[in-house]
Amino acid sequence: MALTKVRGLGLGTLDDNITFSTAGKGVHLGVTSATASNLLDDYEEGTFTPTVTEASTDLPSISYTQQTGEYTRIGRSIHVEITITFTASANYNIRRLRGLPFTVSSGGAPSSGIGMLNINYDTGDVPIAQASTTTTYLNCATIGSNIINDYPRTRSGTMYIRVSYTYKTS
Amino acid sequence: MALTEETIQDKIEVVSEFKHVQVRTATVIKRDGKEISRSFSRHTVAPDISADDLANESTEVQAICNVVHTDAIKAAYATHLENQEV
Repeated sequence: MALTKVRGLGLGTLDDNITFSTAGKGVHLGVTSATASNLLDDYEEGTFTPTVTEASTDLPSISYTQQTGEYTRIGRSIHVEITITFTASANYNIRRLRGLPFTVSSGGAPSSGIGMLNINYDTGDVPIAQASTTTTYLNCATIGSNIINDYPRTRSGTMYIRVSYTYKTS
Repeated sequence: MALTEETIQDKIEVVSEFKHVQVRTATVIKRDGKEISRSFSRHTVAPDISADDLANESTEVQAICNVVHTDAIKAAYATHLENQEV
C-alpha cells in the first residue's frame, strides 16, 4: 500500500535513509503546503576536472601535476572547490578556469577572491574569479581601486590556483 | 566475495538556451553483484567544443551534441562568449 500521508505526533527517529521511489522528488521544508521555493529536491556530491586556459585556448606548454575539482549541489546552488597545480610558458594571461560541473545560470554571478601562488599580477591588485553566465567556466581577472585592471599572468616554475566558489545553476 | 567496478554515464541533460550537455559519470562498486558504493564525476559539453574533443566523448553524447548544437546555436553561443569578456 502506498504511503500517502504521515501525521507526526511529536519527535520521531528513523534508523535508515529516506529514499524516494521517483527521481526528482524532495521535501518541502518549513511550510505546511507545497511551495516551490521551499522544495529541496536536489542534492549531489561529486568531482570534476578543472583546467586553466587563456580566453579560448590552452596555455602554451601547460602541464598539470594536480587538477582537483569537488562540488556539492544543494538545490540550484553549486559550491565548488578547485585545486590546480601546473607549469606553463611564462607571460601568458590566465583568463579562465574551465570544467564547471553545472552550467552557470543566466541571472548573473558573484565575484570571489581566488588564491594564487607564484602567479604574476600587479602589486596591490587582487585576483578574482567570476562565473560567466550561461557558460561552464570562471573568468579570472585582477582588480585594483575597484576596477577590473588586468589578468593574472603565468611565470616560470610551478604555479598554484586555489578557488572556493558558489554559484547558481539553472 | 567478488568486488567489481564499473563506470556508466547515468545522467545526460541538455540545459540552457545554448544547449549545454551536462554529463554525470557514476563509478559503481559492487560486491557479489550488489551495489555498495556509487560516486559521481561530472563534465559539461558546450557548443564550442572542438571536433577533436567531441570525438573523445561517448557515442551517446556525440549523438546528442550533433543534434542540439546546430550552427545557429554555435553562432549564438560564440556571440554570447564575446559579450562575456571581462
